[in-house]
Amino acid sequence: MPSGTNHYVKLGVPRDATPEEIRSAYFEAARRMHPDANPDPDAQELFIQIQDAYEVLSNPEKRAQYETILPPPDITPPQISQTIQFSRSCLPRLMEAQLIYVLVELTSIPDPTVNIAPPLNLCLVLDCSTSMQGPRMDMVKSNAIQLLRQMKPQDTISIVTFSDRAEVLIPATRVSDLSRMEGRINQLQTGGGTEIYHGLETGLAQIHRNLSGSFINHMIMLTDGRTYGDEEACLQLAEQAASLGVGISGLGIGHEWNDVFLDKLASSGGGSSMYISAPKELHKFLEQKYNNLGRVYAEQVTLDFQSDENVELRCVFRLQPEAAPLPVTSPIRVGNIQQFNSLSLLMEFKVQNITDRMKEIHLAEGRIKMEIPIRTIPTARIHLSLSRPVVWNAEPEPPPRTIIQALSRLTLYRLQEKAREEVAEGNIAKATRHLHYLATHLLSQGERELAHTVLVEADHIQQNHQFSKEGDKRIKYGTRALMLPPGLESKRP
Amino acid sequence: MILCPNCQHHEISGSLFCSDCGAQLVFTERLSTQAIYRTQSDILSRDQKKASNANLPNPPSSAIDAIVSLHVIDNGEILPLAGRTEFTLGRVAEGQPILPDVDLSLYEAYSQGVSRLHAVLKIQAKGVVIMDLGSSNGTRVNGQKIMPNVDYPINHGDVFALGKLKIQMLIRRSS
Repeated sequence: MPSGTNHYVKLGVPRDATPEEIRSAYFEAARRMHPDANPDPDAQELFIQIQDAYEVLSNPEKRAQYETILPPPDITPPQISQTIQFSRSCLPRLMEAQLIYVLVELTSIPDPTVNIAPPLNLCLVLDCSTSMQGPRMDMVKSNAIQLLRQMKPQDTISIVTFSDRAEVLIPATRVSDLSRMEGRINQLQTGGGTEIYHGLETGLAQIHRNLSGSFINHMIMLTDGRTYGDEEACLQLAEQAASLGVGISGLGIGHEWNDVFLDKLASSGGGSSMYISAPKELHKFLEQKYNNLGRVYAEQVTLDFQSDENVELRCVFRLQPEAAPLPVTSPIRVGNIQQFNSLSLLMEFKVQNITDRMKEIHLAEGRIKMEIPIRTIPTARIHLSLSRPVVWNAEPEPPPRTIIQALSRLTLYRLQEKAREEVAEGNIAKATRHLHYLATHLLSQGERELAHTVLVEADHIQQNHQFSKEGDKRIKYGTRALMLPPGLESKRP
Repeated sequence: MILCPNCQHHEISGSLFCSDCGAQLVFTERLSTQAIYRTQSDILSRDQKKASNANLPNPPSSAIDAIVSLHVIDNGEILPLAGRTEFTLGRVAEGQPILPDVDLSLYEAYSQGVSRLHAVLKIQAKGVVIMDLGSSNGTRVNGQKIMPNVDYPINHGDVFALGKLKIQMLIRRSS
């Protein structure tokens, strides 16, 4: 057996993999390598090896025996430091519901096993419907070309365009013949409706051609319209993409697109949506996206945990990078950790009645899984434990400043969500009241421009009983951008 | 349960911010209005008329269309007031739901003992009045402490103090 090759490597699982992980890794590999599906002559040999590996590892006795002949595991833990802050040090024994906030910060520290950034496997999915005609399309073209010029030799790129149907403009390739590619982009025509599903499906197929754990696999979807009827299908596809390790970012131009849908689409894989109010802002966002992806240390970071019965996770918000709400499920895909950077999450837990027998409340116990693309065995994990002791009488204590700060911003974001819901329900009086509160807080925090936007919008709602055409998005993405920690404000739209 | 002091909304125990009005429900550091040394003039003035300054020549009799400004005595800055008939005076602090119309935090309001919502100036047909809003360190007009929540007339040239921050009232009839 050559050094470094063993049953674990063959299946691509870590040494401490659970039986479940081994099983799913086997099924995945077997499907890919099955002689019926894979005509490659080497595949048959690999297929047999995978089966051998699975036979040993799936059997606890055989696995234990196999462990004894293997050299001691050479597991380099992921170079991530974990900082956890709670809004209170202990939970009072209350016979009513109570809230506790947790700020989890995962920071990448220099990793001796990783010294270069992983290559990208990127697909641009571009909306070419009729509404994109004119300055928008021109801007998209010039930015796509700029992106191509930035790509490193080891990166692969594909470009897919869609309207009523999807077309592959540039099949997945390394950037070699730049002038020919530019020519193809410049020939882009607009016309037709917006059917996002076709675009996503074709884009995913292009990514799939070079799909690899050692790449950052990502799709950037740019649209200016609403997709009709295929939203469910899109979300399912996004889920499938996420399980393959393909991230999705959504960029919305103008006011027609559906931000709620795009948020859902992107967040299922830990990505986010962004709002581009003017075509000239596109450059900034694409550049930011490209830079962020190029600096990834760990991707597909996933929180997999269990909570006590009386604990409910009410809300998770990613503050950094790319502030965005995340779905409240377990496991939660929370996005990427960039080199020498942090991923911070603010979590809100609701704890129901604490009975006399409970000494400690487990808010979340489990693991943080992640893929470090540049390593031979990319899968890595660290322990996650969020627990608080229970006491009879809790002394009032000031919560950590960082939590207060993060939450004060999150409260503003929620006020605007509330107002949006109320407008949708037709409760105009309440919505304007909440917008006025929001404006007051924004003013006190020195956000004069955004406060002004909110006040104008409140007036508009009072008169027209609905948001103005871009008002809701401007406020939503404006308040969201506030959550970025100080120093990153320049990224604000 | 927690009751939001600002809007009376019910919040779950452990909440840090009101979900209805966004007011902060806990304080990170106890930054209350600073207490300052009390002086003789803290005895409340019962006689309102004594408060006015009779020495200044010809204060305008009608203030309806008067131009009102504040003269911050410490640094000589003049703050013109325009656009409405009532102005709350105070200082802006973090997490404060209701903001004063005139923010005095630039003039070391905190160390001078100005409350966040200290007093209100009302420009009425008969003239300008000042009312203390129950501030921690009180308001004085020409050195006499005034009762909280009661209107006191104030004339051109009068000096009032919010805590220790002295401000002169300037009222000029617009031509």
